[in-house]
Amino acid sequence: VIDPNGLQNWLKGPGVHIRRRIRLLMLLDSADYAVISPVSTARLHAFAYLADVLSPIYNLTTLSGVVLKRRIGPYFPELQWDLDRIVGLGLADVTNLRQVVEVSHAYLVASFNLRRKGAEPILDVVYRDESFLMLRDFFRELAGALGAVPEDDLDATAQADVTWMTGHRGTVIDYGEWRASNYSELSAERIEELARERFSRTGLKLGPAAKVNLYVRYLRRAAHG
Amino acid sequence: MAETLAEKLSKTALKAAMLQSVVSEDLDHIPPDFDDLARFVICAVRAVARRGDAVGLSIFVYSEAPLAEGKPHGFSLIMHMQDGRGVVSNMTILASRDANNGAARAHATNSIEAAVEELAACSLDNRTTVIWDGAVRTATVYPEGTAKEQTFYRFVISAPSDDELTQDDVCEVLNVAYNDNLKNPSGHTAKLWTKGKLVSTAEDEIERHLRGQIALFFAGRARPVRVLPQTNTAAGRADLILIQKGPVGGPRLSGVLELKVLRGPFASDKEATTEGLSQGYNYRAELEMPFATLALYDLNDPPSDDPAPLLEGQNADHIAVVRVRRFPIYDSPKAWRDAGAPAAA
Repeated sequence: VIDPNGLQNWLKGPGVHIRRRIRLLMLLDSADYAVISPVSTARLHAFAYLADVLSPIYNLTTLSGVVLKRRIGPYFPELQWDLDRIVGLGLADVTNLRQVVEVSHAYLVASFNLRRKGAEPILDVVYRDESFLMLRDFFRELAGALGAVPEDDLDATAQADVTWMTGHRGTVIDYGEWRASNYSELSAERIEELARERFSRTGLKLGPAAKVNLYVRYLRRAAHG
Repeated sequence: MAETLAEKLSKTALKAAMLQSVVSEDLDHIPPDFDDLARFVICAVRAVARRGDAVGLSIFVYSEAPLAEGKPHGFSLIMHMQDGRGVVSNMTILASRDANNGAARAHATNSIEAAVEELAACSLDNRTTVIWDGAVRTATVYPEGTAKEQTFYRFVISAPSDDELTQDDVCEVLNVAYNDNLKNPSGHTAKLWTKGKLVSTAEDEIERHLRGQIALFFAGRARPVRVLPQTNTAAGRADLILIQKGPVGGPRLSGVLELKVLRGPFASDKEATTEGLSQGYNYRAELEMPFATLALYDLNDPPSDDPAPLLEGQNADHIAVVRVRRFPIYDSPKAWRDAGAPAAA
């Protein structure tokens, strides 16, 4: 049972907050679409991270723009806070809860999936807005590309991202301020450039869906060495 | 001078050799460039048609949350169908547009009627559905679900061969497309007429339809075939370029298919043919491809299937290289029957 007041409060707030929250529901929804849910804490953050760095491919703006490079992978404190709230509101189920220790901190990790009965009415309203439909299409593409990666390779695949790999551990990676420092997007564009060279003069043009899929193919290869 | 992409990326952790491998080997992994439902149909057929063991009945039902939706009805997880994983024969499978991961449930009996009743019992009979009959290698698509059993399209899918794509294969798919859907197209396949008037986008409509039909027809090929639409070359715009994965290594260019619509009068039809021949000839030379085909879709009243009058006096080199086919398109089933119900062969 969802507490309607709690839900209203959670969805309220200045622009960026509400966008962040809707985005989280949409990420979980697209994980269902590609059948990669329940999704673990680490994977959800990695998915959110890739969705952020690759969004310029769909002419969408990045949301966070910065991420702290931790040993275990991308992690957004605000996303975690919102995720906990979603669970509290009864919009997501938690399974496989366990504790991990990193250096001197202990974290709770778990797996999550959308509780569709509660979330669907909200998403129905969200998807009436055309700009969110574009975002949904992008999330579905990315989730689908990740869903083609063998289970055992998925974590390494997400961390093979060029922007992530280029950053130094323990520092903040800023990919939102300057397009030039979003190496993930530049790499995806470079794939198109190389494809054009290979199919000499066909004038081949790759759509955004093709770029996302081929970039994830690169990540799979790069994760193996 | 501005820094190139390669230069910008040279200072990063990008593994350039890996990126190069993606380009030379993985290009056939790009998703079909269609709307979600057409993409679902193509991917579902691809998931089943390439498999030697898919001789039974497989039903694919579109779902936007396959496992969440299937679980209460006893469906269980099936993964990586596009890589040939999981049992798909004698199963009903819920899947989204890539038909890769999904939820599957075995049929109680191996009859289409019983399986369709099972769909209705789960309230899934209003979803886009693909019924694959392995015995006859046919995919029947119900765009509005099996509850609307009168609205369907049937596609014959080529055998799961390892062969090189040839000009004959392309002509075969043109025949199939004509006989099944284009001879007197309904608004669902290619919208060529509105209120008895030819639409200006007829060429695009036919191209869109053929792209789908080619993708479906060759979905059974062990070495994947892809269609690159509207490619710009130094020689101009090529309509459809076909690529196929080589026996070793990545995809290679197989051939070019030029499309022209004939609307009359004769002089401008002849001009369109001249242009199509020259484009086919030049693309093939420019891109060093094995073949070029020119398909003429005749929308005149009455239409004809004979290319000979249009080829008179054309450049002999072009005619020698480009194979030309002409298909008469009728604006109604009656007009087609009255013309003696011609079939392409």
